[in-house]
Amino acid sequence: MLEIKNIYAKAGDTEILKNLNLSVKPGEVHAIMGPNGSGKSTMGNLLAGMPHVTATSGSVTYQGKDLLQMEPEERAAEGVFLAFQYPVEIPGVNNMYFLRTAYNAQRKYRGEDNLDSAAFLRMVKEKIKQLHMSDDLLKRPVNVGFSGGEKKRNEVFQMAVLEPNLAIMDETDSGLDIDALRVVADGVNQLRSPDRSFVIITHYQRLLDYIEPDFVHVLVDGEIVKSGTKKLALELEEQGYGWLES
Amino acid sequence: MAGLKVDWLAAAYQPATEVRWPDWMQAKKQAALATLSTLPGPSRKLELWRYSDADRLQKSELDSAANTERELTTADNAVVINLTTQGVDFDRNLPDWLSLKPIQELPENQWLDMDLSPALAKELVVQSLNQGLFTHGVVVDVSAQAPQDATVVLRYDVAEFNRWTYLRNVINIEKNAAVTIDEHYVTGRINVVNNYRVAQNARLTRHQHNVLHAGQQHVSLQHFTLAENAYVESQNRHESGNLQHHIHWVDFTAEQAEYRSGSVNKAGHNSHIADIVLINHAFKNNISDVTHRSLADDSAQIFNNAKAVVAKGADGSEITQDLKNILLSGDAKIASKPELEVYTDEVVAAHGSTIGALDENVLFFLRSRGIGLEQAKAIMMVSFEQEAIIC
Repeated sequence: MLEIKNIYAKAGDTEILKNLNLSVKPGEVHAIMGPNGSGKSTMGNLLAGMPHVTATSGSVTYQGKDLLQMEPEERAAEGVFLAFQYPVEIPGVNNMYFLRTAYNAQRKYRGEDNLDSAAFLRMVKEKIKQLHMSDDLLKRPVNVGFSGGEKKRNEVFQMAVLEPNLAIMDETDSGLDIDALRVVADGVNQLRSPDRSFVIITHYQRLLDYIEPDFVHVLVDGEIVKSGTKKLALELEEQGYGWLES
Repeated sequence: MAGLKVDWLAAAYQPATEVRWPDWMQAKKQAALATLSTLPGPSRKLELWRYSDADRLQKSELDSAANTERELTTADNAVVINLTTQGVDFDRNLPDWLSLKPIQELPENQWLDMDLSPALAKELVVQSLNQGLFTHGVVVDVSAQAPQDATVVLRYDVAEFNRWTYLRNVINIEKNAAVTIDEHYVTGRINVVNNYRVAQNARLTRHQHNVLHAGQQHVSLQHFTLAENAYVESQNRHESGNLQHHIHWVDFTAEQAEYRSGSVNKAGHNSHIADIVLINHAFKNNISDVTHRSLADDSAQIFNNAKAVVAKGADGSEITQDLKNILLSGDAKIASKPELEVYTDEVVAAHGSTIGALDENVLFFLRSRGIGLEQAKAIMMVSFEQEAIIC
């Protein structure tokens, strides 16, 4: 699914990722943990194509294609989804319109016909019901007036509608109370499938109580310094990152 | 310029049949022309013309294209007034709540002089020309019997493309009345002055829809007088054109009134748009709230100005000026100027102005969901405009 090899990358003028390597197979869930400033979000932004994050060397292959050569919208249409750490607000544009535009743009890229309004409405209502979220979300402007938890739930809802192959969750748990965390985690778990992979970026082990990862990696100073199973996350919870930073 | 009168008279459309003006109105016209003939033409030396190319006012060949008409109104109780080259045209079978008559039948006591004092005459010289040169217009009287969806459409559809047509309208909204007035530009080189007289407890919802072709020009002065507890909400859309220059002049004539306006200004190619709001808080406890959202692309220029003057003793005035602007190209220019002149103590005022580019984070968010760059920009522009849509 995803092969990151020897990536060095800058955010603006600052080199953040230094010899990053990661391999993700279909259906796998990888958790990326690490201290502040280690490059976790930069990694997510690089994969999604944020303009000011640029690779200076190395390669990223996604489903056999050179991901770094694609525009952000092409990556999305190829099935890459980034759940934002800080979802943006778009006043005056309701979720329903935004999502249908995104959904049909992706279909167009893939050579498929647009889904008409009625069919799209049926589909999103079904999705929102499955995720136990209120369909009031559809009528509201994108993230405007949303609480932190609502914004993160909206990210999960977008993911459910767009059905990516590779979902990168950038600190989706940050700022969530325990109930919101459960809702978000339930949403992610519902979307797990043999064809869909997840890269979950988090500071805390608590999210991994709800989303069971196949692998846990520790990113320090732009490089994965240790990989393991969920046990590694528990060790980090007890000991912190200090023992890996030296 | 030797005198404005000669140049501008030659450039003004004159109807084949001379209108018979009442003596007092003819005297007003002559007096205005006499004053204006002593003034220089507009130029960048003037504050209100600093960011517009006034030479374009004298351009000889303009675009003859008519604009694609949007649906004028969906209201059941709507009356359309066509202001054309020939004059004013409307369905004579008017509802009881509405009275219309030609401008030459305006009672003298309803006439509002342009302020041609030395301080203002130069700045307002183009709009003031209207007082001397207007050839036709309509007096609209809306009574308190107007139904909830009462709507009057002023449709500017002048077939004279190169010479200026000067129109003057007076809109009286009587005590306790409520009405929607839609000003809709179709075509023509038009200089219009509208006097909106909003009486006690009356309510005006006004839309100005000026979407012009690249070669068209439109100049306007909208003068609002608000009596006690009057309420005006004014929604303006100014798009494209060779030149648009609009002044919204607001006078509170009593207390407890409110004026709210929202403007969307969009200029591309080589378009120049000026959107100027001047509000006089001469009495206590009035509210004004001005929101502008402007987008300039290519080598276009936009001037936003919201100015409020709070007179001595006009305590309890509340003023908000919110001007935000986006530059879509390196060659586009926007000048944005919120202004407060406060001569009293107890005032609540907030003003702000920003000029920037489209937010990169939002653009990336939209693209990361599969939306292409151009469509993402279009969505962001709609989102930006929405902040200025008030009615």
